[in-house]
Amino acid sequence: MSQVLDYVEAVHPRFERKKAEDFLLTTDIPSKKRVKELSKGMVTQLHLALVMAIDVQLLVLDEPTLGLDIIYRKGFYDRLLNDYYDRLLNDYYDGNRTIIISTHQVEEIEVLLSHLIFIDRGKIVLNEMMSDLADIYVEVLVDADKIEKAEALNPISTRRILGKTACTYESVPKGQLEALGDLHSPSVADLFVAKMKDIHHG
Amino acid sequence: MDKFVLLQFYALVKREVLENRNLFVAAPAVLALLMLVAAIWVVSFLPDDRLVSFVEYLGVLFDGLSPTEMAPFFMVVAIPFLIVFYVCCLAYSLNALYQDRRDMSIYFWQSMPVSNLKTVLSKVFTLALVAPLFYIASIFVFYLFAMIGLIIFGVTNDVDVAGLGWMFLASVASLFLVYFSALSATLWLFPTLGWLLLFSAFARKTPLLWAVGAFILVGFLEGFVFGTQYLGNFIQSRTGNFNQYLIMSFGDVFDRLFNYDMLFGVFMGSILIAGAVLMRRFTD
Amino acid sequence: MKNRILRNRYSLLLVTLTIYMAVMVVEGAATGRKAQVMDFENPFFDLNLNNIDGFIERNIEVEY
Repeated sequence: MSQVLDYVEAVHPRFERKKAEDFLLTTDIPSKKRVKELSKGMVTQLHLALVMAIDVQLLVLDEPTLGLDIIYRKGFYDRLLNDYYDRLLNDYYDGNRTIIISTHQVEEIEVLLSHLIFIDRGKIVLNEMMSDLADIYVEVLVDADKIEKAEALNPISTRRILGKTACTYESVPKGQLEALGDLHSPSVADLFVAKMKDIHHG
Repeated sequence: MDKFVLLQFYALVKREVLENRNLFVAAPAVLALLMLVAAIWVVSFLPDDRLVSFVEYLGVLFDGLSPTEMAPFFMVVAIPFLIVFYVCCLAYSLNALYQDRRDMSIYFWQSMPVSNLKTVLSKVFTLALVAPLFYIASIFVFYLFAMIGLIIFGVTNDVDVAGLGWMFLASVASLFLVYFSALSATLWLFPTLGWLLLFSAFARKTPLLWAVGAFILVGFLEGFVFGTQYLGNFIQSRTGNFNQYLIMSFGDVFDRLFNYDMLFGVFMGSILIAGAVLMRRFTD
Repeated sequence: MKNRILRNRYSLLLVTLTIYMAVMVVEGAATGRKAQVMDFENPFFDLNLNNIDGFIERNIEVEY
């Protein structure tokens, strides 16, 4: 393990060994083991610990937590966010750091995001700031007697949930929707499904 | 040269050595041990008086000769090591760009700011220039133990051992010849190593089968399309005689390393290595 | 052109081997490469341990 740290330290000019060692302490990787003897999950944790200790302006993570257990996954994103804000507040850095995360495990990261992008077959189909989403997309749990009115307002998707109908609307004034039932902001996962349905069927 | 670039290259070479300890360090060490044991075993059968005259003879054998003049005689001991090194070169090249794709560690290596070109060059450099050092170290240890054994025997049997010290110097001088021979072997093998590296980077499975199969197919196609056999001739001219992989005299070093056939072989190997570098982008 | 060559591993392999063989055939034709083993002179392979003194005299004189 120390050989891996030596290697990254030598080849990467912006690697902070102490930070990597601290990140490694939060994993369940035994320090004296050889990399060959680690499980797949531990190897991913090791790789992530190393990568997160590198000070870069753009960090791209592609399915970083695939195959890892939920305890580690939750901790990983907490650490990622804390580290990001630490560096932002540190006077030494100019605060221009970006982390791009590509993942299918949407629920885990929606609280972290500042921007959201959906890509469908290489094309960007949604590109919004998270803070704007609540104004643009609304999901309504429609009362049973108002379904016709709800459909007349052209929802981008409709689904049945727990015996009720939920319609998702894009850029429809909330005033028009309030009468139909309970309003709330769709989760990112539901929004993704709604958008994809709209593109492929609507 | 930029200090960081040197440190980076050193880290790459160190990685190669650590990952291939079996080939670079263990193989020659085990061979040295086996040769030492075999030597002791053979000597144990000889009667003492024959051994005494043998040691006396060794002490005066090279009288009047400088260590560099004596050095070539020690190449005989080096031959088994060079054979093992030759096999090690082939095994290493076949595995070098295949193993990290098989165990998926390539995703880690490629996430570092090290280009594919640097990666492949560091492997070639390690093989040609660094690995032989471990072989030489093992041979040196063998000579050291042999010398100590002979001196102890000589002293306990009242034989003049001063000449043995001179002989030891010659054996150390011969290590330079071994190094040049190993370097010459790697460069003479360059087309083959390049071929193996290319298929090591290309194959999803069984790189050896691909390398051999492609060689047969390409040779056949050459005959079919051009009616020539230059590929076969080229390889045959380099594999028929192990003598080609040995440099037995310091005077020959420059000629052997810089003749047309050697340089042409290095050029051809470089074409294949360039292909291997580009092939690294296909990581599956 | 570059995208065609690097499209997949098979196209890259094909191009590499084609260049390799083209150079090989041209060089072979230009130099008349024959199927012969390259022979390097090596007097030490005449070594006969029973006559090592004579061997040393013969070969050191030849060299120097």
